[in-house]
Amino acid sequence: MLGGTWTILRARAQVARNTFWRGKIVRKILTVLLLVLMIGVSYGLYRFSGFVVRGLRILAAREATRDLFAQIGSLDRIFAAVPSLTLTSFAIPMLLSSVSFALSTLYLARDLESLLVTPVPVRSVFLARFLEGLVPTYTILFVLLAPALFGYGQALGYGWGFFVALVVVLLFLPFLPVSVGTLLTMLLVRVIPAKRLRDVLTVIGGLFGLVVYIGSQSLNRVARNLVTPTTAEQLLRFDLPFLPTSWGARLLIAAGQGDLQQVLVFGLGYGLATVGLFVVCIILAERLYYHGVVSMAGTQGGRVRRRRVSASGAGLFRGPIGAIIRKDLRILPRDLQQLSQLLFPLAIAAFWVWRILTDTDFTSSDLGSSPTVVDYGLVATGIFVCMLIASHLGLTGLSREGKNYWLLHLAPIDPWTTLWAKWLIAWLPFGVVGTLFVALIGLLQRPSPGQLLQDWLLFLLTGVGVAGITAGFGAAFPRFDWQQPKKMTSARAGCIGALLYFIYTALMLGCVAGPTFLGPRLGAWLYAAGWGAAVLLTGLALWLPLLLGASRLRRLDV
Amino acid sequence: MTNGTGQPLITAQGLRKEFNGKVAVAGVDLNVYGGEIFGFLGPNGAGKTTTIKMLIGLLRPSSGNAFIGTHDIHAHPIPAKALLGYVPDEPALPDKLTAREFFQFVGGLYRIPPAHVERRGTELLRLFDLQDHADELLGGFSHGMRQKTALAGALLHDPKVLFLDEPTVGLDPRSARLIKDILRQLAARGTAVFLTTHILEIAERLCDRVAIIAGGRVIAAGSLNELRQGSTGQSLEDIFLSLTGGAEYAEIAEVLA
Repeated sequence: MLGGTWTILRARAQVARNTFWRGKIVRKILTVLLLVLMIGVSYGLYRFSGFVVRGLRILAAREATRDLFAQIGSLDRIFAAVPSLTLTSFAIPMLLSSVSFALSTLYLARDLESLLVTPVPVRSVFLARFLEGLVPTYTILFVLLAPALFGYGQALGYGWGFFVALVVVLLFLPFLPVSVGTLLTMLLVRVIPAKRLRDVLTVIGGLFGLVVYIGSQSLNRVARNLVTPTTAEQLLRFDLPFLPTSWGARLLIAAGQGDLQQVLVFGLGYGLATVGLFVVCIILAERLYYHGVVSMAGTQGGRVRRRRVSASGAGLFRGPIGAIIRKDLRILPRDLQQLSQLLFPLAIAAFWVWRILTDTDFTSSDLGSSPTVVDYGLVATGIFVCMLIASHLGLTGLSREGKNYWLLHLAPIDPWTTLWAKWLIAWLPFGVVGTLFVALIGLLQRPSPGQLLQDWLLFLLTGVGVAGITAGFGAAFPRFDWQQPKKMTSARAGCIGALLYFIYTALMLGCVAGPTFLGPRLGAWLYAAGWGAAVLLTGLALWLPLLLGASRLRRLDV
Repeated sequence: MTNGTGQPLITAQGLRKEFNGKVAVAGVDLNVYGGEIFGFLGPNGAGKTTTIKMLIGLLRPSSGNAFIGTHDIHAHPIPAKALLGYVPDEPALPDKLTAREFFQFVGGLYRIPPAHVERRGTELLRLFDLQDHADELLGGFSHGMRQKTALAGALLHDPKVLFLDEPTVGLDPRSARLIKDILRQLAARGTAVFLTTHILEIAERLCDRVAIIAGGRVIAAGSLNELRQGSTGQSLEDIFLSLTGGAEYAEIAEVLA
């Protein structure tokens, strides 16, 4: 078993080495810079943690701050809980990400079939994949956590045993959550096909990111109530003694204090929990893992209810543009992975609508009053939300075709046909979500009909330009070789596109909102000039990127 | 088998393609007429797929011209592409569309009236024995089913020229026979069929003329009788191996036995 594992791991190491050595010089330089950055971050964390610990001890000893620290609680107890809290807080995301990791390395890797047909034990393949997947986890642990705890231990004056135990604890730490996650994955795959499970996990991951975003937005409201002098004491409740991570933490402190008995007790407990669970994983892999892999074939299908297509044509858009739009709108809700990319911006939209509706600062009681900064702030918020959705739909518009792009390239259609179809899809959020936002503004602000119409036109017009930029740059720098939806957008399209449509949107708001505030003094002509400038700007934002996209598409080889 | 006459429907003039200084195709000249099945044979890496992609406009040649009918595929792509259909060796199809929806998509791209797409699509599904899978997602189709769906999609707009890259690879004998019969019928109706294949028996039985490419150059072209005149071998396999230098592989086979 170990021989097979070593062979597979060696091959992976050769792949990584060849990828680096034979890569472009830019990539090599970036890799070296990344290494230097990681070393810098590690050193910074080491110095910072030591500084914080020493600083707090000095402050606790001072007369002026003694009362405050008395309210906070026992500093020694808090310091003793730090390793446990940090190890546990690192283990939780490892557990959450381990299911996705196990799925991609154990079930969805492209070389899996060629490995499993060789006379190598399934356990060897499993073990090699498991260990290979720990590399990024160890990188995070030894770049971020290890230096911080190192500085912490040094500042508290722990002996050399602490530092030796730290390396051992961190080496064994990932085994626990990753083993749990891997076992869970192997059990889930017996019920849910691996590819379907991946789609579901992508959606869950998107929802998790959303929760984090909403939490960060609400932080300033929550923090006022939660962060008090007694918060630190309350955090100690999360130092749960039955968790294996807390045993590892106690092992560290015992080793630092030279308490051999405690070292043996907690060391044994921690070792049994981490390594023991890992061994259980290996034993069960033979049956569970193999069963999951052989059950994977033919799970991409599904039946769709047939819709009647009218003989006169399918709705508003006929011909190639309509065909591309209908195809994209059909595929989007069926592809969970791509849909999950839209979840975040859609949920942001819902979140901001809820914030606007519940926050009285946005409500005006003066019917038909002149627009204020708050009015345009609402418009800007709506445009930002629509832009988030449009950037996903537009920048990835052509890349979403992936390996199927040959169908569009082969068809007797001009590249402009493809671009207009993708542009229209990217514009949709402004038409739909933008209109809803304007309705919301009308409900809350009760502006004059003219102002409401202006806001709506601003949405639609800005959408024309934003969709032009995103669709144009998405077509100019497509990526058809993606395996995950996150990797659909090329770096150039993402960076240039994002920069341009932020500049464009700011200019649009300036052109339309500026004269509203300066107009009474300088005359109505400025108002008209502002809109004229906005239309001209939109024309440029639409035409130039699409022109670039069309010229690139004409020269594209498939 | 019928021989093509009149104006060629596929013309390659000095087609050449280089990738990073390496010559993949070094000047290919050929004509294919309506009503004939033209086989394009060669060993792995000879330049078959590169040539076919230049002919259908998916790759820009480094030099040379490609015509479909009278239209230069690169100067006037739209009228040229309207005449042709293409089936790749491993067709990448939208996994999240059903076969029927895929036909609607292709029909839209080729500006075929929806009613005609519906009728023709149903006929083709029945012909390829896919009618029971018409409303299933393409992602669940086997390789053979995808191949047949791709061919059906390529035939939806009644192309005058049909390109196929390894059309029978991965197909069961019944499906392979069906495709061969369909190609013969298309040729009988005046369509020019251009296919690449590794299976020399298929080329021998199906093709009116063949060209053999090796190292990016066409080293032989003509009907089977014409090729036999210039070679000592009787079968296409013997001719192919003697031209492409494959005879020494018999020694390797002896060593491995």
